[in-house]
Amino acid sequence: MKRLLSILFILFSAIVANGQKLTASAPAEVGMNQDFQVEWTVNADGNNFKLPPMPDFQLMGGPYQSTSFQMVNGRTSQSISLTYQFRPKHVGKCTIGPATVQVASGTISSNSLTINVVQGSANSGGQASRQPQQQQPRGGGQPQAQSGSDGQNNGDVFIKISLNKSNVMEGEAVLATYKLYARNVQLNQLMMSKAPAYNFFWSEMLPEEKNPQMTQEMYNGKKYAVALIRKVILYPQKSGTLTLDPMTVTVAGVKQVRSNDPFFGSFFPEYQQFSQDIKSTAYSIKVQSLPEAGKPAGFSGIVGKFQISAKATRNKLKENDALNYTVTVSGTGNFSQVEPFTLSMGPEWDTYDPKTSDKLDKEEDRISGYKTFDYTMVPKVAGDYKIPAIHFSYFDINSHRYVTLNTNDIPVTVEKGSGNNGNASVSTLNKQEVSLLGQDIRYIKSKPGTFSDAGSYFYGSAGFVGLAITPFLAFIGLVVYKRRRAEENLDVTLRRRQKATGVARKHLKTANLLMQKKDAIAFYTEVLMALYGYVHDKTGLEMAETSRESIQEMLSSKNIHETEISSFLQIVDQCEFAKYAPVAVQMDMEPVYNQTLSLISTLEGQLK
Amino acid sequence: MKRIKFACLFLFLFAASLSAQDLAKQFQQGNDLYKKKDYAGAAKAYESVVKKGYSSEGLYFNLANAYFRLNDVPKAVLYYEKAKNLNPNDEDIQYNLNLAKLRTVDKIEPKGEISFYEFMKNIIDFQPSVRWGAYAVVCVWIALLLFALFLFSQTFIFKKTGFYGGIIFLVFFLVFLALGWERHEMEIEPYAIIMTTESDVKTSPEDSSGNAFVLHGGTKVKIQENVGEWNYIRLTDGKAGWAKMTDMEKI
Repeated sequence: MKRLLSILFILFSAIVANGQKLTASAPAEVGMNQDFQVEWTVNADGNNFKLPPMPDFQLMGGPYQSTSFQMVNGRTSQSISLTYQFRPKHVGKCTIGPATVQVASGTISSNSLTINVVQGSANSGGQASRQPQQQQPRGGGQPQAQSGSDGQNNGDVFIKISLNKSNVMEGEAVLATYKLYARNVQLNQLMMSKAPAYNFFWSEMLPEEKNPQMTQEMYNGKKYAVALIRKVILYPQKSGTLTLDPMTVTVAGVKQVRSNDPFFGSFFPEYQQFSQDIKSTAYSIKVQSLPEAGKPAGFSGIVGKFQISAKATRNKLKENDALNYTVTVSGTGNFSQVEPFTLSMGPEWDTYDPKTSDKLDKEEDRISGYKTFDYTMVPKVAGDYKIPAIHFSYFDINSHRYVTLNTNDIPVTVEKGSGNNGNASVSTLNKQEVSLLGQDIRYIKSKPGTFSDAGSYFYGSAGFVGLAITPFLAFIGLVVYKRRRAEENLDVTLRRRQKATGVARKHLKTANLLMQKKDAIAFYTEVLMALYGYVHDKTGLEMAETSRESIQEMLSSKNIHETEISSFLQIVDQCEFAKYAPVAVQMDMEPVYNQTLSLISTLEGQLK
Repeated sequence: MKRIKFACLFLFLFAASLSAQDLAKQFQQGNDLYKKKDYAGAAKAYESVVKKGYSSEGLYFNLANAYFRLNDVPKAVLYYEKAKNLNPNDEDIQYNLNLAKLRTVDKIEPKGEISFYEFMKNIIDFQPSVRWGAYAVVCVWIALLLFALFLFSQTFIFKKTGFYGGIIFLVFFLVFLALGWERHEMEIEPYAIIMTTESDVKTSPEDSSGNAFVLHGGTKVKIQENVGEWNYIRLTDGKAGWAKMTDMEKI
């Protein structure tokens, strides 16, 4: 019996073990930016549910619990489901490990799941695969108030970008269409919360329709309501892979909530307000570069098909009149890059910045029309000019080659203006100058003034230097002359003084000879000359001053003794007397001669 | 030999007096034509004197007046400036020059100068360098005479007068010499007048280089440098650039 019991127990526990199961279910494939739900169901009463660690997913919501009871053949069974919402963190195969729950018989684990996360737009297929499960009516259970995130959420509202061309060249127009797809919801409001920035693109928005109509469209075998969000013509500015930034749209509306009430739900569908941010995926475009071969020098990235024309309002005008010159570029292509042309008219013209106007039609996938540049130019000086030709290069998208269009030179003749040039600047004159302008010049001069060689200057010329320097030289000459004369004077006295004794001796020698010849007159003359000459030479006096008194005065001033002076005068007197005395009264010449000799030798000592 | 020299000197003097007479005659002829309002003829007569290489303030002034009447403003400005160079102190020349300048296109505001410099400039411009030079020469000769008096006079009062008077006149001489120097520097400073209706002033002395600015006839420029057929010019407001030599005529 005991053994039987134990077998029974084992059996039972096996049944129980078989019966208590934790199962996990999730879509097999989800999109990168798509939220999805994972449901764990345990068919017994359990607690302490533990989620497995999930490094690849981000928990977005949950758990939402639902309980169901089933009665089969009189037996009730209960199951509890826990639903969590996740978002994948990266692309690839990701695994959700086993979750655990505590039940009466112990801890049980769920199966693990492998989910394929794919790049790109939401693939509703995966979601769709879950739909039947969700739509499965559940027996019993309370109506779920917290159904905002379950079931038909992101997968049912999404943005799709489509381009009209897959192969684009640099500068070629490509139309990008943004559409909102919705299913099972009624959208009341649609607002762009983040407009994409088109980096490396020139973008031209096509005008939005005032009342966008929802259209019906089949997508992945399902019928969606589709709203057009935006149409934009893009001109890629560089080659390579360019990315369109994602766009975020806030939608608001009402969606149907499937009732979980098996008795009333299907008869009275419930609706719920909702508001949601829908983000589009980033979109990449491959852009081909323009061919390098044959690229014109002035090419500025204009692609399309164009014509150019230029015309001037007139070919003949006067100075300071205005001339209008209009350049029109028409055709199809990236007009936004058609910039005003630079005109080099030279300094004789004032050229003003052109007025740019355009008339462009934005059609489905291209922009066509014309762009006009209106230049105003004012010639300042008369003459013949020409407005230089304009060279305009673009890449013909149809024939795939570069085209350069040229306008013709436009000749312009500028005639002298009626007023003189000065008139233009009268306004810059001050009051005093304006009053002067009315005055006449002063009359010519009747006299020419002194004629001189043009370009020759007196100042700095040789004549000027001569005239200015001569006085200095003359001054130096005068100083030198004066000094030399003084020197000479000095020399003469000195020499005479030095020679005085010699000269006197010479005279006395002659006198001695004359004495022997008995020539009295010549003798006395000679003695006088010896005496006077000696005194004059010694003292530096002139011969003219030979009066008796002046000699006496002079000798006494030279500190000669009285005896010598009187003896000098006595001899002189004797001689003067004897010179003119008659021959009869001749005196002896001998004592006079000796007296003179002794006097001179005495004076020699005193006249130093 | 002596006789030949004498003959040469006589011939020279004769030629000189003849030419001076000739010049005065042509000048008078110009004046007569001017009175008859034959300005072109008058200008031609004056020009014939100028072409012989002679200059005088009256000649330049009258020639400028003739060009002014003929509406040739650049030439009028050129000859007024030349006349002014010969006599900076003449009011008539300055007046007519101002009137002629009013009719030029470019209005160049001179850069503000320091008032002391302006004051000095007025003094320097009071006389042409030839007069300053003459004053200086006269002063230095008077100074010489006074110094001679100082050297050779025996009288004390004459000696004293000679010495101090000599020094005063020597100082005068130096002042006039300096003023003359400055004035002469101004006179030989190579100024020119733009003669063409328009002259492109380039950033470098090449035809291909960009325009710095454009000058019009009658504008006074200072030539600072010369490279080939290009002159580096500077305006009174400080702007500078390269202009063609043929576009201008030196004052």
